[in-house]
Amino acid sequence: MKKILIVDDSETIRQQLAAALERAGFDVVEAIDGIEGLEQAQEHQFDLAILDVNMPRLNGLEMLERLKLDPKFTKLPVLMLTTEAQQSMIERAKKAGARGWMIKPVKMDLLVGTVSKLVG
Amino acid sequence: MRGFIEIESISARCSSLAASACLELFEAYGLSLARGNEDWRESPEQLISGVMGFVGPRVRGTCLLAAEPGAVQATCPPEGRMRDWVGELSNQLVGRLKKKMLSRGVEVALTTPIVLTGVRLQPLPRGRIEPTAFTSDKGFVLVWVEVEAAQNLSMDSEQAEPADPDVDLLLF
Repeated sequence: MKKILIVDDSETIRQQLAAALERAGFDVVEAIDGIEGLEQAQEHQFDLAILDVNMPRLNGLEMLERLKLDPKFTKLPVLMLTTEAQQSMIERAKKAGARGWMIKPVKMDLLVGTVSKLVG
Repeated sequence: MRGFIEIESISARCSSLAASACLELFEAYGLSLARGNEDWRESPEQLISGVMGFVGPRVRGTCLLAAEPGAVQATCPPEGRMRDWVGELSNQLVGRLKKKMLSRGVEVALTTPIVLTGVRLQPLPRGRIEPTAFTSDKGFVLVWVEVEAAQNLSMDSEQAEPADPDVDLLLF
């Protein structure tokens, strides 16, 4: 079973994503911010990470950049999921190694389809 | 950051953009809003509210979203909790406001949301700021924006800032 890391400071969003992904057959682990996300990434073997951007302590872009500094995560697909749509932030994510940028509100069919494609 | 002042035209423009963002946001979650009246001032309902700040080189401010619980609940996913969800709604509201400001050449970064609850909630700004009030069949929704801007800031029309992608997904 493919394992997905969801990092979002909104419990509602995490649970919404987890429910949709688990229904689609994925195993899901949640983290509440970038710091906890990095810890979870070290503890588990993930097939994909979904990162919110605007979070306390360590935001999603900072987490992505720290994650990709570790050669262990070079090939880990990362999907940014956020309300932000600023071109410079999207470019920063792309440069850091993200595979996609998805805008909230989340369209669950699109999310599950994209995750399936990226882990396939 | 020096030299920021309250500019009536900028405040009005930001309030208008926030009102549009609010209509779009609630519509995206299936709740239609219409412009409301002063009835909210007399409501005994406990309101739930999210507050977010934004700051950039030429503007800084705060946006407060307050709503009756029914209006928040109507947009909340089945898995959600009200306290958490109003924070997320505020986050998404100010994200939409940011996008509208960017398209007018005004760059800002966002804070994370603070959640409040109370009866007849309203901010106490330095000047008098009226909320944009909306009604819906689930209760009313209010949006306040308090803004300070650099004296030479103009937000009259959409500028040459590259258009931000108006799509749900970009794959790299």
